[in-house]
Amino acid sequence: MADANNGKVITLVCERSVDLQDRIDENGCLKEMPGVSVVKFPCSGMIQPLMVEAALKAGASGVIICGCQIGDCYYREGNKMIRDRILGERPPGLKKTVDRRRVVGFWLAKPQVARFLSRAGEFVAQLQQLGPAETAAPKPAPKPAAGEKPPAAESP
Amino acid sequence: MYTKPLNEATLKLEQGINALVSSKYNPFYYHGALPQFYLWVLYLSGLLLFAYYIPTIDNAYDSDKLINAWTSVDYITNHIPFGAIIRGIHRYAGDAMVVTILLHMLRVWFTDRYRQYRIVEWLSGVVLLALVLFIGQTGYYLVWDDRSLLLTRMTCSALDAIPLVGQGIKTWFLNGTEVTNYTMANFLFIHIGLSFTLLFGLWIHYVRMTRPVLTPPPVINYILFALLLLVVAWFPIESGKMADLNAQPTSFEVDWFFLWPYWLLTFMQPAIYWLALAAGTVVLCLLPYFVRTKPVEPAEVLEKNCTGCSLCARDCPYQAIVMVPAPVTSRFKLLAVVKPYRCSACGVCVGACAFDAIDLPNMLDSDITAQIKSLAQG
Amino acid sequence: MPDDKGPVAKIFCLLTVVFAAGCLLMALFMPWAELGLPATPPGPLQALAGLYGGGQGLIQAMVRAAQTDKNFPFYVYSSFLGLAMIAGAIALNFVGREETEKTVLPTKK
Ligand code: SF4
Ligand code: SF4
Repeated sequence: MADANNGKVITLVCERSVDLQDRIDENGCLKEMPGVSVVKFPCSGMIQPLMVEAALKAGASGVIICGCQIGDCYYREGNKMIRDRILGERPPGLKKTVDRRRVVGFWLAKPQVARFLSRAGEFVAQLQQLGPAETAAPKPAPKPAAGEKPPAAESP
Repeated sequence: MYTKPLNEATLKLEQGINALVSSKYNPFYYHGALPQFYLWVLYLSGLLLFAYYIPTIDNAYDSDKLINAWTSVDYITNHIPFGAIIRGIHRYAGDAMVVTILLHMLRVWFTDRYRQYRIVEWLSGVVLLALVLFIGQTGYYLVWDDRSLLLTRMTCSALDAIPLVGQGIKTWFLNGTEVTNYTMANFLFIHIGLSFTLLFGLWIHYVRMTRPVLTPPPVINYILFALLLLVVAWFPIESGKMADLNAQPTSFEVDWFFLWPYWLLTFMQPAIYWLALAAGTVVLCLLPYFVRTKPVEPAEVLEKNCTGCSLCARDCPYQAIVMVPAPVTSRFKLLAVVKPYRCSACGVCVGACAFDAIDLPNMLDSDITAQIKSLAQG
Repeated sequence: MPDDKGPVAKIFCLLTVVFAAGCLLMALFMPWAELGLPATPPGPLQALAGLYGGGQGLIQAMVRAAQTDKNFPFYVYSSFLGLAMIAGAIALNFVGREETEKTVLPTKK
């Protein structure tokens, strides 16, 4: 399922934000972009920075966080909370060792599916340019050859 | 659900406005703060009017020496610099407040944000709306022109129709058995006194919300105030003739924001009128119960993991988490406790907790993390 | 100003500021006249007074309106203040608007 030289991209999405219900297959992957899988939350505010770290550590090449348009949130302020958390403006934040280029936030309303797909496409292309993730540690690990899976670092 | 298309339409509209003014300045994202802004405008302009207003109905003297409510309003309008503007602002800010309250109400209804854990907000909102409408009506009595007199009489005859308590309420309303100077003093007291009880109502309205949005950004405030100024200038308000207790005014101009109940009264039997008002209020109050949904499954704290860091309590948008002293066996000082009837199961507390100590019972964060890991490795 | 604004937006923003300044100036002439201050303003304002004099016809019409309705000047003042506030709000919107559709994390540690 993974892209040619890349791990998966994990999308953590609020179920009231972009409506991806019809766009995912039974494995939770986007039909248009099989390298992108989707995990739904009742509110983007439920996403823990720890989950972002876990995804990258387990070999994902990138994480998309998607909530409703900033200013709107069914539960009032969830999207602002997770945005501020990944930006380091609100505790708990992301670990310093997390590669900031591999995390992105999109804030879109339920009907903006097309917008989401094009934004996600851009992000995937960007990740491909970055190459495989160096997941295990802050120190660069030996790069796997193209086509191989990145080393899946197990959690200690 | 029946509100689904309405919700989608609202989201589409807001998306368009975002493209126009960016989400930071989208007035729909401050819909609750809009009437709040107009309330401050009303308090301030009302204070200025109060400085010159004289709550009496005397008209027994010679016409050019008359001092009463009507002449004081006339004096404010025609002799005080900018008096007409201030009066206009007070009048139209009231209308604008009703409009923005309706907007607020429709948005929370369309986007399904008025039920369950938000019930206190909805019910207090209905009461606040009724209060605002009544306060606005008393404002129309205060100018004491022929419309005021007619409205006062219509109110009295409508109150007469209520069995048992009607007479009592009427005596309270008129501050006696007929219209006298004391009546005007009472009207002024009701108008101002109730305006301040709005603050108490608003406290209840806000009490279950963490960080309620109370003020729109300056850009929106400018627009809100500018619109008032333009309407004031382009549609100047005029008083009717001074009220004359011996006259029998029969028709009046309807202000559709506040005076629609009187319009109803022109063709409804008083008894039916009261029943209709009561039924309308009850339907509004019961609206949240008409929709059947599964009950909320509140968040749960795992006592052994909780360090008492308070982050969840700080971030919970509905004030549903309180920090209590931890049991003596604990290594920590505090423990998070969820008030289940306030909880929305939004999971924001899960996102706030770095110790896996709080969970939604049907969606454990350990399960999600495991799912994410397996997807990432897949 | 954020740099992703096109030249049209910049020109529009500038025009808005000029218009708002014009409205404020107009609004200030009103109390000037109300207070019976000299018809020829001092020093550097002379040039502006010349500009103002250009609109003689308009001014006469306004004076006539003011004679029939004493509150007319206040209404004019109020409209101009309102228009200036709207212009100001539009300008502020262009300066302060934020693109919030996407959040990219800063890479500097
Ligand atoms: S955030 Fe977690 S650890 Fe901190 S008080 Fe809440 S439940 Fe306890
Ligand atoms: S799920 Fe957590 S954050 Fe959300 S309302 Fe309940 S206690 Fe508060």
